[in-house]
Amino acid sequence: MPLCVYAINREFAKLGCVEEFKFDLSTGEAIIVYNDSICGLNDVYRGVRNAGYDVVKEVAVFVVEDLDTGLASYIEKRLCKTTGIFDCISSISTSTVKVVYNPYTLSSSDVEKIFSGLGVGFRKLLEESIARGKAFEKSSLLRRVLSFSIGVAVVSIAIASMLMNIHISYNYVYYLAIASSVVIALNYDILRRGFAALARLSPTMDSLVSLSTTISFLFGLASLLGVAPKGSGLSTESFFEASAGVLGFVGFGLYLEERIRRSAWSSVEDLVKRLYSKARVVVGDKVVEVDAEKVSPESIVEIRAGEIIPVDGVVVDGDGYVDESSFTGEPLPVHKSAKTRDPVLAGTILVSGYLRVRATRVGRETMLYRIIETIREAQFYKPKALRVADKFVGVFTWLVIALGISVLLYWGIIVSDFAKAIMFTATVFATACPCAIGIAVPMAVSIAVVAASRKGVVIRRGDVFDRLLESSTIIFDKTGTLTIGKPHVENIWIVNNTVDEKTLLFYICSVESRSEHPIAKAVTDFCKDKGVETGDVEEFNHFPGLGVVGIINNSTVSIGNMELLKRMGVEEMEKLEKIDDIISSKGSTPVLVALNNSLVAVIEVSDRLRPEAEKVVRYLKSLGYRIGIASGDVKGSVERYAKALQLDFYRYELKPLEKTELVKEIQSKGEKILYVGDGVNDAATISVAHVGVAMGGGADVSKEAGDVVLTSNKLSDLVFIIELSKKVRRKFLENIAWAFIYNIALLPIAAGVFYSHGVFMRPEMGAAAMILSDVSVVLNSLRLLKQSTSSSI
Amino acid sequence: MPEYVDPVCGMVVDPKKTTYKTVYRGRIYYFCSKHCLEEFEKNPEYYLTHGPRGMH
Repeated sequence: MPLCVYAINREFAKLGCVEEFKFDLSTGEAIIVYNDSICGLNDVYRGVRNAGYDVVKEVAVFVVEDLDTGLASYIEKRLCKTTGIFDCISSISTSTVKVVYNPYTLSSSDVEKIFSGLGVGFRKLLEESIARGKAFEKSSLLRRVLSFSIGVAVVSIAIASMLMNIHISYNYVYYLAIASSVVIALNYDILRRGFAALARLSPTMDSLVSLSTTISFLFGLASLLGVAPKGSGLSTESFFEASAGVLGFVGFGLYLEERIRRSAWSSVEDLVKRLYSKARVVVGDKVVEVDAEKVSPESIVEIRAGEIIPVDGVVVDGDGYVDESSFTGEPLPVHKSAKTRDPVLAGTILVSGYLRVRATRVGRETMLYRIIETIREAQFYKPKALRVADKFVGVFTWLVIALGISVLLYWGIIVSDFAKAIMFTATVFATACPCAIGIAVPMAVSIAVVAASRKGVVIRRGDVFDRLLESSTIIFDKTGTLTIGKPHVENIWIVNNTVDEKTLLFYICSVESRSEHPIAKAVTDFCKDKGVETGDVEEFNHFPGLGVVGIINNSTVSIGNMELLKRMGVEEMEKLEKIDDIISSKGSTPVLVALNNSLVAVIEVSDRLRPEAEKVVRYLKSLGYRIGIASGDVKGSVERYAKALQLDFYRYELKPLEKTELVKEIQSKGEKILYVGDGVNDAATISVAHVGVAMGGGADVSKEAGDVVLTSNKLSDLVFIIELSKKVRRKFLENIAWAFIYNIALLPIAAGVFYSHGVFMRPEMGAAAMILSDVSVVLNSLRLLKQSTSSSI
Repeated sequence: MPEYVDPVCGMVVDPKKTTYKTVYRGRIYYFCSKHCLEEFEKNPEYYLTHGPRGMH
């Protein structure tokens, strides 16, 4: 870990809690003394990361049984206080907890030991179950359905007998007691979890359900044995049916919720399955079948029609149509052929034809793996609203327990009706489940992330939706963002005949063939058309925002902008002015070529505006965003595009670092910037912006860039994602409102406030209402998936 | 193979391995980190006349 300690110190100064920072250069080890009353180890860890360094760390992911908001914040709080654990983040929608720890302090078995000390059911997540959530148990389905049926039967029989005023025999009460016991036995897991949470002093919705059930069941039992205090107006068997009803409804509701969540995740699981396909590798004359992840790069893989392409690579033989919809959202298959050396991605499907592909990236290096990983990472991110919701649920549960106790005391002592006291307390517990509030936000975010990924938009952080709506200014990179990004060479102007044209083209083509830049691509395409050969380049160097420099046949060839040539010490720039004027008046870009530090040629490169750019910009302006360009291109070209699109401002001839500075500078004035760049050159700028959007055809999206990655490479998806954010925000609010309406409307009735008017609820009715609120939140969120397929542009 | 030294912090840098580099006054400079490159870009003359500042 080579280290410029200065950068880290600066981050620590921001935190204000680091008291001492000792660093040993030879081992790369650092000792940081911090004040843990101000910040935690996770803050220090993030500080080091913000400074651009990483710490040696290991990550363990655990699947926790039935993780809910209360349990999640309890685990996070406990783990973050443990020495050696850098960070701990939970994801409720996948029931997983990610622990980032220091392998010098803790071993992986230590982490497991700490985890088991928390007293929760868990198992360690293995690689192959990446992105998979709870294990889908058939036995759980059977248990839930059975307990629901018995619960409903018991409740209906009890209501029927009450309505018809049938005298209750002792045998009948025994039957109720047995039925209720069966229901309780079938849902033992809910009770176990509920009381465990209560014992940890962090009660959850399960705790409330458990309290409700246990109170009513025990009171029923006491009545049956004749030891319960007598009450009025209520028959004792009501308490058995109440406990059976509550658990029957709750268990079934949990099951339904789980089913719906799973269906939302199925599109991601479908992608995961593709990761573990088989590949047929061509070895000499034979074809050998191996696991896709074990294919070595550079080997040739055979794919037949109807098969999933197992590796990222380049087509070297055959042709066919490939369905790339899971990456780009584009429904029409794309033609791929060996002639044009088209790239293909692992996880796409060869619809027809036959391909042989040379693998360039396999297993964890593939685009598919990265997309799945980013979807999973996004699940771990907690937006601000979610943290607030977490805290609220924690407090709310205590409030309900307090309310339950008050109800018990009021009806039991002041009214002296112990049966009613028990019933109303049980009803309060069963009704006031905060689970709908707890799942409202994560549900909407998770589903939006999945919805976006189906359209070819990868969301890397859960709070992107919030941030997009907070942004006030949008800055676009030009090349590859507002323009198609496939520039082509219009002309090569030779300004100095020190070498003949053929040699000069040979030099230019050789150097540019080493570069990945879009302009270099334009030049190499030009070279191929002209049939120019290329040779070996020594000491090739690429300077982002400037150009490239290479040595060939002992000649130094510099290709780039004015700044590069100035820095290389090239003078005689006055020759250039006339050509520069001609080129930039056309909106093209001049690329300068120097040989041994004297100017020899100017390459005229031009690009076209994306067809949808104008519509997208107009729409974004109508939403009130200020819009500008920050480009590395020359003034003439940038100015022309900025005017054509009627942008608010434009900056030109910026190096990547200057773009970063520009974004930082505008943000320091309190504006929040949405930066859209091409992901390769703009990685740093994308990372400092309030929201960074990386555009790019699937193949070249860099791993680090972007809170949002538009793998579809469609500018119009920017509009899609902003609209989706608005929908997500609306869902948050709707979900929270739903949850509140149920709770606030029903609690007074549950507490027996209107009993004298004949309006009251029994525990099982409360449970049914609660499940209704829970399911309505899930269904409401799920509508995001359907709606997101349409977009205004 | 000449030794390349990061002009900001003074560390020896392998030009083949680093991605942080820039060109100034006809010469190529290599850096150990993004931070050093940024520092250099802000004020190249300072580091070329004063030499590396060393570690803090």
